[in-house]
Amino acid sequence: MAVLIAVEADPTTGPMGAVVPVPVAPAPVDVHALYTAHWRYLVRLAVLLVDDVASAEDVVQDAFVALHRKSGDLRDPEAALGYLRTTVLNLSRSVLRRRQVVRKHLRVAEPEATAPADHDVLLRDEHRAALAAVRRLPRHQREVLILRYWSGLSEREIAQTLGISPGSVKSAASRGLAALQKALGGEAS
Amino acid sequence: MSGDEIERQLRDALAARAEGAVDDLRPVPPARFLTAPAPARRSHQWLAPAAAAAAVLGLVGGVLAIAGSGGSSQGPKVVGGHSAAGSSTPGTSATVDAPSNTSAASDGAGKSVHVKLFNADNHTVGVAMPVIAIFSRKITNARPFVQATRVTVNEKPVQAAWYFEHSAAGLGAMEAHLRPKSYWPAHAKVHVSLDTRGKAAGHGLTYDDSLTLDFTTGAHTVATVDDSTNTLMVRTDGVSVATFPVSLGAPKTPTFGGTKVIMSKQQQVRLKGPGYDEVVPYALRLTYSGEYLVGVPSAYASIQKRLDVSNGCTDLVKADAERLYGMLGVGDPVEYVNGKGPSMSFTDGFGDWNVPWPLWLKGGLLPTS
Repeated sequence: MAVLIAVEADPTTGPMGAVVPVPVAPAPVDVHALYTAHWRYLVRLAVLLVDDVASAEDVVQDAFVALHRKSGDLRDPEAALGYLRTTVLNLSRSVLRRRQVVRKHLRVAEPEATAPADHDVLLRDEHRAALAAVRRLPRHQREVLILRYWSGLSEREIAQTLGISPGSVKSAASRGLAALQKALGGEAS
Repeated sequence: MSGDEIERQLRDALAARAEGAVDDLRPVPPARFLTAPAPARRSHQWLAPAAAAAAVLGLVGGVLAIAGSGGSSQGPKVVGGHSAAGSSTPGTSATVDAPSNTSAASDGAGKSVHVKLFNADNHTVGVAMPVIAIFSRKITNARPFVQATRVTVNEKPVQAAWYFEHSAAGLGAMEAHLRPKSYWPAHAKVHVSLDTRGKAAGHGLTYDDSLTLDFTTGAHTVATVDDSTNTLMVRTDGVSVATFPVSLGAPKTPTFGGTKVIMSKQQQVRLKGPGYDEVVPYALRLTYSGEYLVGVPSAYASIQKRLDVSNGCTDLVKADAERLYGMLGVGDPVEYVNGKGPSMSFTDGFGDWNVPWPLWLKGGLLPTS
């Protein structure tokens, strides 16, 4: 089972040891209330990251299971949401990594399994082109762009979620945008 | 293309993808962390990834028995509180069998097709609400599915027909919509049963589940939007209950015509587009492309003057939008008449009622008779 550890990231630790602040407050967070309030938001975030709805839902369920196990220690709903976001990010990375490994090896046995999880076939053309371009970006830039242009988080919050500095968020975003501009620039809009 | 435009396009694309994949109508499924005590759940819910990893390891080791491992990796998921057969709530069946790697590697006897329903059980919806079935893979023969469908209204059989289309919202590999010739009867109990498990979905394709759906219809509430008079009129069970002034799409961005169906309700929505980015109240969604019936405070003057200025939305003053929000619900039809724009397309929302019945009976992407 040693290999399993390599395949699965531990959902409870943030990337690069990001620490979720735990302010002192009277009651532990109500995980169920958080679930009802943020399920849709988190699944949507995960969809953007892993690109298929079923995996996204699994990721979010797993994130809440992880939060549930920790809920005794968490007392601030805002911090809990931050924790959930970071966990969704980490688990999504695991999904992509796992998928890549599976695809690499399945290609030999079952070519059909390598078909992309292409659910956006009927989005508008310009949307499809933008999403395809985002998908081709390096992981860091992709995550930063999704958080910045979809999740509504501030630069500081993005930095916290990803466990990187605000400066890295800025530079990843501008590099990502430049790459998108290059990829999409040819098209009239 | 300018940097601003790239940012706008990116924002729109991400929003369209995210909202298309998980619509506001989707009920929140039961939480997995509630279904078992914490320690047991931990080992349980890692079973599926473990099996998938085992399958990979098997391949790496030169064992090509991927079919067997792939099949078994679905096992624990089904046990994990998601019933594959029996009655359906869309939320709970959603994760059972999606177009993922594991389902593609199922057993050699044929590939399984999993059907789930977009609609939730035991809800009250408007009379124009279609029943939407979502297929985990593209089926090639619709007839057994059609023959396995039974629909009753107040326990009497009625004629309702399926229409097959691509899944515009990216809900699955394919969608089918079920509706009667004209709107469902008001204040009625509708029961749909799909005895599909084991039946063929095409060459080498077999359904792996059967489903039922029960819902009730509310009052016969229809909103009519007249582009020639810039009014929206609401009739409930034949009685006119309100008329509101509206502003529709500007000449360059006309509001789609035809019959739309309210897809979701939001107290607030952020509308973004060329030249505007506003958070507006009391939004009733009509199309995936982003048409709403919505209160737009900044459009007050145009609404008073009955000018068409929007990007396609039907704008109301805030107080009217609030009243309308209370009158209409998901599944209620909104009929656009005397418009200048093209009709809404089937796949841009619940465009079901814009397909003429004789055409509907042909089945869309797949012949049904």
